[in-house]
Amino acid sequence: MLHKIHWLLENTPVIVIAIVMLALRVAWPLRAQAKGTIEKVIYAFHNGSNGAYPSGGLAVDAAGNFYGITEAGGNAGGYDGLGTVFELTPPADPTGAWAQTTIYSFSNTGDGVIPLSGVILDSAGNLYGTTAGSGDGDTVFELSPPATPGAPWTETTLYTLAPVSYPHGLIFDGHGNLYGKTEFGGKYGGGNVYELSPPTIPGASWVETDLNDFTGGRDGGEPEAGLVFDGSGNLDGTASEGGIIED
Amino acid sequence: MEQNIGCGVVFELSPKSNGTWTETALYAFTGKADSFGPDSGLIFDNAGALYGTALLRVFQLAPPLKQGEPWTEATIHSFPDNESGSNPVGGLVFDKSWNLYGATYSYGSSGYGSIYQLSPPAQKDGAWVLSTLYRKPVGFNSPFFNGSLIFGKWGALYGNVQETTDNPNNYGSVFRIAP
Repeated sequence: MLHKIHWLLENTPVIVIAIVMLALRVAWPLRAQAKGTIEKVIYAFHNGSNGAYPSGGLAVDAAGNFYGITEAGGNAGGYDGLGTVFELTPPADPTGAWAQTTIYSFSNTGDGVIPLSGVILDSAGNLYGTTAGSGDGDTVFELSPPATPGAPWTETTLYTLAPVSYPHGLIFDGHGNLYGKTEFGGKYGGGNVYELSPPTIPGASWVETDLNDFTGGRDGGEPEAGLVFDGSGNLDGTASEGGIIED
Repeated sequence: MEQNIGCGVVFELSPKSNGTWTETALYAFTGKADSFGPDSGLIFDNAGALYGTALLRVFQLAPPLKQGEPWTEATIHSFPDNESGSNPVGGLVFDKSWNLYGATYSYGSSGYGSIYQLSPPAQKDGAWVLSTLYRKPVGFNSPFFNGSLIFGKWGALYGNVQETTDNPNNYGSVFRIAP
């Protein structure tokens, strides 16, 4: 016993260091993963009617419902479908299951195919987005919620752009006008920024105004993402091509 | 001699009193330390600076102090294509403390996709601090994060995963990163 006590006294610093090192070794990976590392798949798509390959961002309403698009799947165009817009309704508590609803399946009957860049919401709960892939033209669409829960949403094609324009994300100004970019549209094929103004008479067409055509030169070209307003009414964005750095 | 190497721009469209809009390239990427190919959307901070992503970079574009002077670009994080992530995908989102959040998709030899946080520097001219919140393992079925993140129910971050086309049984998902 005395031998053991003596050994402990002699080796206490070593033992303490060893315990600390062991604790650090165990704790280090926990520390590295301590913040926000719990990932949970809240919904997995399985093609067919509920869609496949979600893309772009999600939109969220005041109740916490998510709205998004899938580039494939849906109820039209065969097994692989032509794309969908979906809703995910949250459970009562974080451990529950989210409920998925396909609120629209694209059919290439004037409504376009392959939605591109997610959807945005207006204050009335209408959704707005774009499609690219139909030979009849790319589209800007509106989906209006049903008056009766469970009834179909109503799709309206607000504007049809030239085929292969590749319209990306939309943004509203404070007056109900929509703004968007195309990657390959416009006068020079290097993309453009356009405005869609709502009709002044109910049922009439939205009016498109081409605000800027990119040349691919100094001004840039092929803008791929959405736009943002600054506080002065200017629109800012990125263009992945073009620009001049040496004179 | 003028040389167009086409590395991309950040632009601004300004409305004029006659109803037309004027486009200005606020910044032209050089393809050097600032990288190239900005392809995300932009977000503003409360000081009027813009933030976005280019190839392997997260950048800040600060407005000039005087009108007419150039905007100032700064790379606030470079992804070296390793375990902290590789190429940013989608746009960025701020939380209430002005931390930035984004995603990278599997890319390059290491192939890690990640969800990351960039915390602003504590002092002026300090460095932004990267925290990798989640890292997808490399592998045959390693999915691609896709699109921008969004804060939603229970204060969590949500986003899309678009599975690799190598795996015909996966058709993508919506995920949550818990705080």
